[in-house]
Amino acid sequence: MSNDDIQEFVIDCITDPENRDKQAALDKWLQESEENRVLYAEIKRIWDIAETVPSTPFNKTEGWDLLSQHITGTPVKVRKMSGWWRAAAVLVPLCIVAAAWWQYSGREHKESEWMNFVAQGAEKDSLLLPDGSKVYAKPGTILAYNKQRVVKLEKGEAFFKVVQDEKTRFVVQMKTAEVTVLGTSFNITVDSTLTDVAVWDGKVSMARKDGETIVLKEGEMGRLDKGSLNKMTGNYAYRCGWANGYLIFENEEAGVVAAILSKYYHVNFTIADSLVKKRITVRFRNMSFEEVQTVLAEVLDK
Amino acid sequence: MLQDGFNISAEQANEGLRNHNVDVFRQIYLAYSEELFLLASRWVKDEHLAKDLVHNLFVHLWEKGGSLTITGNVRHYLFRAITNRCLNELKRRSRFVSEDLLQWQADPSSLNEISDYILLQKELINHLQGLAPRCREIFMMSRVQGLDPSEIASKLGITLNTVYFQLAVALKYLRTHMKGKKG
Repeated sequence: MSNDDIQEFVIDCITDPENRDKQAALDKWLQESEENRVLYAEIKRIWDIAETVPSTPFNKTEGWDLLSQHITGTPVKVRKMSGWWRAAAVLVPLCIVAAAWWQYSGREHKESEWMNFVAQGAEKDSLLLPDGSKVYAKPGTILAYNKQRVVKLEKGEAFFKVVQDEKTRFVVQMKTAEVTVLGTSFNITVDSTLTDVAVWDGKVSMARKDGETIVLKEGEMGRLDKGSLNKMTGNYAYRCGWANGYLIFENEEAGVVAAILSKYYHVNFTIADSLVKKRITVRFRNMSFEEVQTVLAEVLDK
Repeated sequence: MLQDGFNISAEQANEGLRNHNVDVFRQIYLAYSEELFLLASRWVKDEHLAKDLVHNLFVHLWEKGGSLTITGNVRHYLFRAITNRCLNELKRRSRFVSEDLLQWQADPSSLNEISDYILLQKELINHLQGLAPRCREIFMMSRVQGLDPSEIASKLGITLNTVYFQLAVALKYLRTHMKGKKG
């Protein structure tokens, strides 16, 4: 075995401790020489140390800022507030905010009143709905919403991140279809002929206006095309990528991946003809285009 | 013993603390706070609490600086100080005190070993930044969050082989980069 192969072998054994065949092979290999045992110990040590790494890194700058606030000037003792004062410190501002909100919202619009929204900007626009759900919309998207978790999507493309509310369904109405959820995220594209609904997480029910309904799960996409409603095969989670930054491809043709990445990064991204049909599984999140290129090259090379 | 990368003598530290010298104090904080946080996290197994304990230790050093005398190695002094704070806090909260923490108290010579461990861990955290984001994510999910490779695969929607492959990439990278600095 070359040096690299040995390393690969040891790592393979460490990461898969349940596999008896591997562990047996490892034991045998460890018996062979002291050198092997040293190499193993080194890799195992890194593996073990990593286990106790804190989940959030320690921020020295932040820590120092906090500390220096504390120590500037003469050392100041921070007096602890008694329980009542602490409660009041939280409750009083809350009451003021709540009161202001009541007044404000009462004057603003009635429960069923529709508010219109047209998405602006170059890349995407966002909107916070009264229930706390969030909408990302591509420029030119037109929609209307009310305070009862109903949105009318006229045209365009929008990603919905719906907050959970077991009691009230969240509904998106379109000309020919309707989507109903409790709390999930999904993407809708509406143009003159097609309505596509791609689900990021949770469950979404998609219905044709005259009744037929399909239920879509994570990664699935429903399409309403000239009156026929179908569940598409494949994973369509990447459809949500423009809004949430995740680009996920599962067993997808490299050509398709390249086309979507080109659109997402606004570049012309091409790959060799011989690789266009190759199916790959890869996932990106908020990566620079350079990083994406590196990962993709690695995946295609395998 | 691993290289410090930073060394402040006990005399310098004592003088700085006695005179309320902010620059010296800041140097000490920047040099040791992360290690102290890692050590505290290891003892109390609660990152928020660990952060508070480190903060409180430094507040104490600042306020009582005039009456404290650091002897010997500054790092070791601070390691002992934070460990005592952790122990007291765990007792105060009637929380479980781990065997190795008690053993450490009984046998101060285990300090060198712990010190090595913490410095190695700090180095590892530094090198994690050098991994490709996806590779780092998978490595963290496996080690820090303790997920099985199969769980990671299903969570990220990738194949099991990809998970193993990325873990191998991460380990290989870390080993090569951490090797040169040992001893």
